[in-house]
Amino acid sequence: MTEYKLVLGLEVHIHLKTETKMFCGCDSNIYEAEPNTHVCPVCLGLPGALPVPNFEAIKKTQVLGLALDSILNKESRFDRKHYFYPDLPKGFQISQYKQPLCEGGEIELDSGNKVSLERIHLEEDTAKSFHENGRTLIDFNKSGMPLVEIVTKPVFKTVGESVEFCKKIQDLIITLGIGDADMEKGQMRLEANISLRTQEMEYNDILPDYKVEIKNINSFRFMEKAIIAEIKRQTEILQKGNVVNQENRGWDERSGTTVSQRVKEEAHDYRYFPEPDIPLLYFDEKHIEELKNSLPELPQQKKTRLMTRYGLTANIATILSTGYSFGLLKKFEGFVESGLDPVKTANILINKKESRDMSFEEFEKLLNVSTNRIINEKNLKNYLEEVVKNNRNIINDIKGGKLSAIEFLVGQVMKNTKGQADPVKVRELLKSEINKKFNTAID
Amino acid sequence: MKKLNELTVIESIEGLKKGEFKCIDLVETCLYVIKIRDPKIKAFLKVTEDSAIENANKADKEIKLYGEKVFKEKPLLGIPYACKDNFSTLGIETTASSKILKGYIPPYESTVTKKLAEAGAILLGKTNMDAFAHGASTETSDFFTTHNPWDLERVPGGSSGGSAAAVSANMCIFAIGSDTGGSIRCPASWSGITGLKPTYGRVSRYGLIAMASSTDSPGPMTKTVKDAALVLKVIAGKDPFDATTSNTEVPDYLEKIKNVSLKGLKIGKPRSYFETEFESGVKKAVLESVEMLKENGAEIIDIDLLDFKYSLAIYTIIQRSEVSSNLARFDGIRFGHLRDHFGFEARKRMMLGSYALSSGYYDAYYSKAQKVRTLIIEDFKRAFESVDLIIGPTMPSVAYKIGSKEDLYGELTDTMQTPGSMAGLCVIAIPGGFSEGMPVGIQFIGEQLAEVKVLAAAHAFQEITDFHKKFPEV
Amino acid sequence: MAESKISKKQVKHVAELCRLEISDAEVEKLSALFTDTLNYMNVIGELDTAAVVETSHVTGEKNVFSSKDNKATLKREAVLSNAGETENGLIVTKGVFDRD
Repeated sequence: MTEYKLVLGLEVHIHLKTETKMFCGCDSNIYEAEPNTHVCPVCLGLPGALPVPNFEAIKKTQVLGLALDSILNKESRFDRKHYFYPDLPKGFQISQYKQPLCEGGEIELDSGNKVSLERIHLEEDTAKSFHENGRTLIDFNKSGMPLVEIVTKPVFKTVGESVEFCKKIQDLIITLGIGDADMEKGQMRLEANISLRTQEMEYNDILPDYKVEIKNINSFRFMEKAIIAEIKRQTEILQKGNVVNQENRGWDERSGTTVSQRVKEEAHDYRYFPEPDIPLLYFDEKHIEELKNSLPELPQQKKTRLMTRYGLTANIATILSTGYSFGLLKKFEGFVESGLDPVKTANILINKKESRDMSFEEFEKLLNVSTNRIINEKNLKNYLEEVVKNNRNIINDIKGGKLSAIEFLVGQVMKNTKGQADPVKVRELLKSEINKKFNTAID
Repeated sequence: MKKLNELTVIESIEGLKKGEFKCIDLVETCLYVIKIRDPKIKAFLKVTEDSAIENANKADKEIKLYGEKVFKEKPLLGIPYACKDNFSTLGIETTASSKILKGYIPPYESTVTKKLAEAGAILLGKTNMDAFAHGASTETSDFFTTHNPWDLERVPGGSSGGSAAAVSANMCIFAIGSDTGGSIRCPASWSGITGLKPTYGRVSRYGLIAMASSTDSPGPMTKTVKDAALVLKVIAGKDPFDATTSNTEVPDYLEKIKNVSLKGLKIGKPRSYFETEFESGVKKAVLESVEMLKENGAEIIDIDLLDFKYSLAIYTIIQRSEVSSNLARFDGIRFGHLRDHFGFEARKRMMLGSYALSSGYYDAYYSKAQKVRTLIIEDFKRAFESVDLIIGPTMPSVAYKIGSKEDLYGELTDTMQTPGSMAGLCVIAIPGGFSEGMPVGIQFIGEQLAEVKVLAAAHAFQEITDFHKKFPEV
Repeated sequence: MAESKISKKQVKHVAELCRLEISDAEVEKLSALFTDTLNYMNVIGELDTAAVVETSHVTGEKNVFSSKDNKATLKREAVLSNAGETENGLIVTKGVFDRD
């Protein structure tokens, strides 16, 4: 049985958080609004209406590009992408084809693998439509919302990597403050392009001649399930010696499979041409420098900093560096600046939810350490050595097998340090000290 | 003694200031003339009689209250005008003369009509046009054809035929049209009036039903150049709703063209423009106009410009491509009727436009056309290094008889207009003579944003000729 | 790559791209018309444009963006006012055509 290798690429669409829509002045806070109340001639696509681009959206897209190490094009423009659908009022979508705002880019996964990006571009969203009883009902509030599209290269080796990527992108969007990326509100949508190839093809860097696109995925769980199901489906087809059709498929939760949405013999003819109603965009060095300077600390940078400066483990550092943990991180940094031990503080904040609302004094009590005198490991060593020196009989008891006698030594250290040492740490260090000195093997 | 409807904009304002008559008199006279003449001419799709009268009364009140100085803020107060039906007018049916838009009532106002209203002008009605501006004769209107006031059996030109006829027949004081490939200049010439195609981006397109987004230019259609200058000042300017409008300040055109003479003006006469095929009567009239300019001090310099056929070709490709795109929004869902309501000309243009944009053909057609466009722009730039303006004929013939042309290729009639359109230049068409009793037009072409030069030269020509003072007996 | 003739098949294809229905008689007629027009369009092949950049905007303006002045949100009745059918504030259309 031939083993097939996964060829997986993603397209991630994200609503940018801007004051107004992409090409008009309508308020972009549409999420709880009554239908068709955030609509103007432009986003309704009335005859004579003209698009005027939103600079905030452009800058936010470029900031995303900088955070993802993309190249920001000095010249960029919008293009018309033509197709007919009830939710596309103009019969074309204003998007970017030849000169997107950002090209290339990459993001590192926890494993160290890097996900390469094709491009990041800006476009307008379509309206929202519902289908029932052979009718289509349309709400144009969403029409014209600013949409960033991130296109990856087909580099994901596993489904897990693709989910991790999406989570990291979501987190980055939040960290950068350019969007909320709330999938339930439709602020982030995923599309997966899946195909399979043989080991030989992978070795020779040959891509398969087809790809199946799964569109409009609105949860990470669904994406995972859909990709897995699709891999299974394609594997079965290929193993029979048949050809997989190039098509769009959707995820059907009920059947737990992907279902065909349409088979097209020819590729789409979007008839792209430069949007004549919008003048070209030119960005100078100054503009790009300003954007660079406006970047907040990115998750990866935060993680590195937390590990090197505070000695946190990778896992703890990862948690504290996500966008969601912004408040938590601030609390952590505050406590540590005031003198609390970073590793302990981080541990407690993360594991004990109730500690997050505590004041400094309350938290300090929890840590059982006074701010003024912290006994660090170096100082502790002296206390330990003294106690060991002065309690040879206890040591002999321990050597003889009476392991619990170590508690007496711990108590002695605590007495001598006036309770300021961490008993857990003391015990640990005593054990290793004694093992070292007396060739014991207490664990 | 001129009748009220025969006045120019400037004469009307003078008369109102002096109290010789009231706005209501102006408006009612025009409405009356529309009633008796339009059944023969059929320039109007809709006459907004009630609101015109209401606005006239309001205007009179303002003049009574504030006196002459009110004209400083509202330079067109009380002046009745006709508007081509591709300008969105809030609450007033706008059809672009197409069945697909029958019953469409825009919920917003175009910038041009908004500015005119703010300046006090009074809308008399919406005028007929070639459906979606696809044509040069107004014959492709889905509703009816407009007749040339000079000879009712002939076309008025197009696509702004209704507006041209309305001015020519003195059914209004001025009108508004739009020019994509000659749609103001052609009917202005064939109907014997003045038509200005401003620089692309000088006047906002917001609310103008788009034909070719990269060349559409709204503009005034008037009885004199001075009127055009006055109206242009009102409608021109940067508009936040149109990203292609120019940042350049709008000068007081009327002020700037007073006291300008033809002496020393360098006018380029392109060899290729005059060597093309013409009706002999038209050629004669145009050449005589050129002579007149020379006799009055202008220096006529022979220049070479790229052959018309190239701008015609790229205009066809680019316009049809953009048309196919701009008409994609007509899906009958949010407004208008289903796509089977499009007329034959619109469908023809959409299809060929899609072809020029389609995969496999885009490079050879649309993309290449935009490159040739650069060549044409550069060609003009070179020419303007040695001349102030370029003069040319507007049409190869006088207005033809209605129904006489099985127009295989609508843009052919507009050949001579296309170079100016493709380069986004400022061009004015003014009466330049007669042939077989029908008006002949001439055009002055200026660089982008050279409206002052163009208007000045055209005005100077109107000071030494009286072609523009002639109006048909209807 | 300039063609000199547009076949009936191509006519049908572009009609589909534009979502326009055309009769068989029209296909014939259009094929001839388009071929004619193509002859005019093809003259651009005579010019050398190898080193020429496309002009997509004749004015050379750049970086034009929206501002507070761009607010033009309509009242819902106005949004719905020209639609054939509406329901509960939504615009209704019959039938769904496949998304391209």
